[in-house]
Amino acid sequence: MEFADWVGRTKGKKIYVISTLKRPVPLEHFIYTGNSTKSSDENFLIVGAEKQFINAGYSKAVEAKKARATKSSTAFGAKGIRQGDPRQNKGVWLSIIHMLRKKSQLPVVAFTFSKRKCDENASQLTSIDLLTAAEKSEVHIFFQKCVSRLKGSDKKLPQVVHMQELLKRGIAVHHSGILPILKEVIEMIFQKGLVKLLFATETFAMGVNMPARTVVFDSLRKHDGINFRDLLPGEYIQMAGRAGRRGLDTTGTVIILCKGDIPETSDLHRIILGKPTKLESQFRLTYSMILNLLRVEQLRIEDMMKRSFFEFNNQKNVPQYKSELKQLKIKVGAMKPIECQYCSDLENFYVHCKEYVEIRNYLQDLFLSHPQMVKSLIPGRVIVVKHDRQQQQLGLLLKVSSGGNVKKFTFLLLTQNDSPSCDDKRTSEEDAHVMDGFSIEFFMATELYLPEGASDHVVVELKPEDIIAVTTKTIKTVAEKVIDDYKKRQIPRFKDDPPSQTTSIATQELLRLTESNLHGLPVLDPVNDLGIKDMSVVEQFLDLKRRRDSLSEFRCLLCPQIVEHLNQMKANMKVKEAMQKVNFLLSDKSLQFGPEYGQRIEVLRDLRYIDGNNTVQLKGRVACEISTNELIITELIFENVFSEMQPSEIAALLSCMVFQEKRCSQPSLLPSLEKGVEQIKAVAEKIGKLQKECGLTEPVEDYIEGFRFGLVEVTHKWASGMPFSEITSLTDVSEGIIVRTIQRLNETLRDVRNAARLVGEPVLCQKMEDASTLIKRDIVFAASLYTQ
Amino acid sequence: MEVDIRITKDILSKSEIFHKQPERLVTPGDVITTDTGFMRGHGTYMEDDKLHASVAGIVERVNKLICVQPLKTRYNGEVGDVVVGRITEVGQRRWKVDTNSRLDSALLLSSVNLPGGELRRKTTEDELMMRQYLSEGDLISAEVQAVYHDGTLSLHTRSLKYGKLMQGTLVRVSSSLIKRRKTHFHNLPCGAGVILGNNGYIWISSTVNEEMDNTGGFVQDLNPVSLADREVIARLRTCIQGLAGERMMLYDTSILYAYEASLLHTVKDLLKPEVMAEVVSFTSQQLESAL
Repeated sequence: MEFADWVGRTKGKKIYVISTLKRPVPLEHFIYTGNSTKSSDENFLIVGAEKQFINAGYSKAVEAKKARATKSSTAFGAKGIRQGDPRQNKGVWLSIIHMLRKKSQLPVVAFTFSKRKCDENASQLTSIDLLTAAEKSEVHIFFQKCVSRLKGSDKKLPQVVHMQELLKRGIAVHHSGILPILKEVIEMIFQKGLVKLLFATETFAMGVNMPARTVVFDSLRKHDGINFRDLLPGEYIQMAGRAGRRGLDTTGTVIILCKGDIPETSDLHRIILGKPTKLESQFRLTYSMILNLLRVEQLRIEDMMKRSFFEFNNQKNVPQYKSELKQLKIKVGAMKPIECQYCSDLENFYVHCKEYVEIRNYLQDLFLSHPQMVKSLIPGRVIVVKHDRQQQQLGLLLKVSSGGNVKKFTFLLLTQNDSPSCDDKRTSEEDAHVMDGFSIEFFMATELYLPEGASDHVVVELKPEDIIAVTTKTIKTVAEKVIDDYKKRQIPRFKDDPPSQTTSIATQELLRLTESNLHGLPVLDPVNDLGIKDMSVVEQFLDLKRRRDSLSEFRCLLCPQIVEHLNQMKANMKVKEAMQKVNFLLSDKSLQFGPEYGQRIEVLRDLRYIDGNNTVQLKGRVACEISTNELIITELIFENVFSEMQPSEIAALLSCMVFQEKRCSQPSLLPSLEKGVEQIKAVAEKIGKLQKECGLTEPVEDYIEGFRFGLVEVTHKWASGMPFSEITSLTDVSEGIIVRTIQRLNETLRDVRNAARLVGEPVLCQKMEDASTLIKRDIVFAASLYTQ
Repeated sequence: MEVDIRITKDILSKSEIFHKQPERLVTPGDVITTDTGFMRGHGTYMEDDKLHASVAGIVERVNKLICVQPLKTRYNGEVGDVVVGRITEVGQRRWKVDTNSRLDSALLLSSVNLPGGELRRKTTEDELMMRQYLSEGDLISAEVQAVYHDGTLSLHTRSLKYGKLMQGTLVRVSSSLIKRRKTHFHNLPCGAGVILGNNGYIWISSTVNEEMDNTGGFVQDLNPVSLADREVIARLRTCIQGLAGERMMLYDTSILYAYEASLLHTVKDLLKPEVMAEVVSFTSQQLESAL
């Protein structure tokens, strides 16, 4: 729905959404607990065709499981049921196939979430034969026909032979490690209905027309590259949806194997019946996109970003922002200028104060978290604080407590005997909060507050921003005693008790200090006393001092109605700020990719892909020719890395741009290749660093790590003419991955060739041509069976 | 009767206008470098392990690539360039366009917008109608969509900005004089629109109204252009030609400066070489001071 809205908005057309809620072939979800031929009927319906959860089925499953668990534990002691035991695993598969065969619910797709497990499972089931003789011969003939396209030694590849074995018994394996041509063979035989049991990874679920009667889940958890997690509802639906062939079956069967414990009801609910995950934009800003858009005149990149689904939520609100802006504009127009002979510089004053407060708060945070400062913030320290109406008064620090991420300080303060009445409170609220809690007096007060008449005291908790300055003085006292004493006297029963001795001494001392130092105590100076060395901080601190001094120069302070005027001014400024904010939201700068765009442009400019006017230069044009890793390949071309090398070496080195597998055996390299690898790494480091300097977040190491040299040797040997059967022994990377890498390498080679042509370097161009022909042979580039 | 006596042009061009000597100017056969660590780009060749220039031009170095930018050349297209061209031939589902490059460029029927900016698959009827849309001799503005491997350009007019050009003047200069900018469509404040084609063809017309007139050039507007507009156009044309004659880069600012400098003279006077020389030297001074 949201998606349709987005399409409609970007295209400026009305969109009709048609959705089907009904599946033509309904699904039934089962839990399977059997693990041997005896218990092969332990299959329990948990979600029926009407999408209702059947609790009875679930509890039955739990019971069956429990029954067996107790039986086995009595028989074998407390061994329990462990997952992944290969023999037991085999038992589970044998029993379920037995059951499905009896109910004629084959063919079945078994989703297993690791390539290794797929292979293992298939190899274990040696005893099963699911095909009749006639079917066998059909499979054999078809398989021979397909394989006949391959060259001599390729026909004898272990994977090919193994797969033929399996296929003859109606079993197959399908994942990314399988050779592409075999994958196609398997898909075709599967569509003929001659693969009765297919072990597949999630990739198989993405195909369009590969349905089976039954889908079996090996487990409901998968490794998504970071950690193990439960399947998402969307993933589950996609895979389970393979079950039930339209026109052939009345219902589709989905079976969840329970080798270990039975999953929780809530988990099952969430996975099977849950809402699919929300659609998320995968929009990414790439260099090639920026370059390609920069050289075309009619499209701006900002527009492109605006139109992406990523920005949809913001763009949706644009009309609302616009109307808001209109209203604010009217308000601004209606604003009364303050007319006062003194207050001509009031606006300046306001801005000044605001900045002052901002800087102060920022520095305050910095200082208070400084280790030296933390050390001096101990009970007994005398500190200048603001409290209620008093903007500056001495307080005695009693306790520092940090709850959450906000520190709290407990102070002993002096007050007048009768002052903290509610009347006083009210007025303070009225005018003190002129500016984020800082009243006008704050900027003017220079004298310490001295209570008049008989003095009393309070213990209060204050926030860090209330601290104005930390003095060098300390008073010796026992803090806990003061707090306890004060707390005690808060209880009505002890209200009339005299303050304890510690408290009164502390109070006396504090009063004395205040009286003798009305114009301020020596204060801990951040620069001198705390030894802060950071230039920018010191500078800011000096700036703060300067600002504070200059504040008193404003003429408007002479105005008798300053507080009133300032309040009015504040209201005006608030409106103006709101307008600025809305304006910002409407402008291009608010785009979420805005900063990243700026940073990337900066990188391109530094590398001279574009000039100051964002006109695309020669290097930029070369980068446009290249589809992946455009920056590094372009740099390599212009650094003349390739001209000296043989075509096969170039191909080998470029394989790092397309190879993605994380784990693989370390290849042994020739010196010339070793050198090339070093060069690539050096260039990658350079680009990585530059990106970092320009503010992009990707760490340099990650960027370099992105290039994996695991297949350099393999590609080199392949390009030098080694047959594929020997290649596979060089590495532990599976055949399918090798083939795909080399296929993608060919695309990269073509890109580089085009780039060389653009640059006007015929030698490199020819070399790439040669490299391309060298790798384009035999099984790797065997033509697809579908296109025949 | 008024008599106009002038100095011969030869003397003039030697004097007055100061040319900066470009840094690395080479002629064909010059040795650029003997260092073999460099990669050879366009306009160079290798002989006896030395890199020679094959054209007269300026040496440019990007990292380890050395190429020579020729001073005088046919237009070498790049993707995204704006070009102005003239239809030379109507062919099978395509028009041939002269764009001052080595080979005629192709404008495919599938890469034009139909009248009114309509977007749809083109039918056989459209193929038969091709000559009604654009016929031989028509001028168009277009963007380079792709460069084929033999150097032929494929153009497109898939935006209402591009299309047939009517009622204006075409000035042809060397393509190396057009400065590459973000935009090549300019509405100059003096009341004329200029399209600086990257291929060295410049189109001057009366001001194009952004919203109203972007019809892709399919609406014939043959209302006479007012005299004032024509004068502006004529003045711009002479200025551009004057600038080009002195090998000055052409872009919106330089053209505008020249135009302003020329306002002291009547349009007719500008045709006199010495007046033009004065205008051009004034412009170059202004450009330098603006830097």
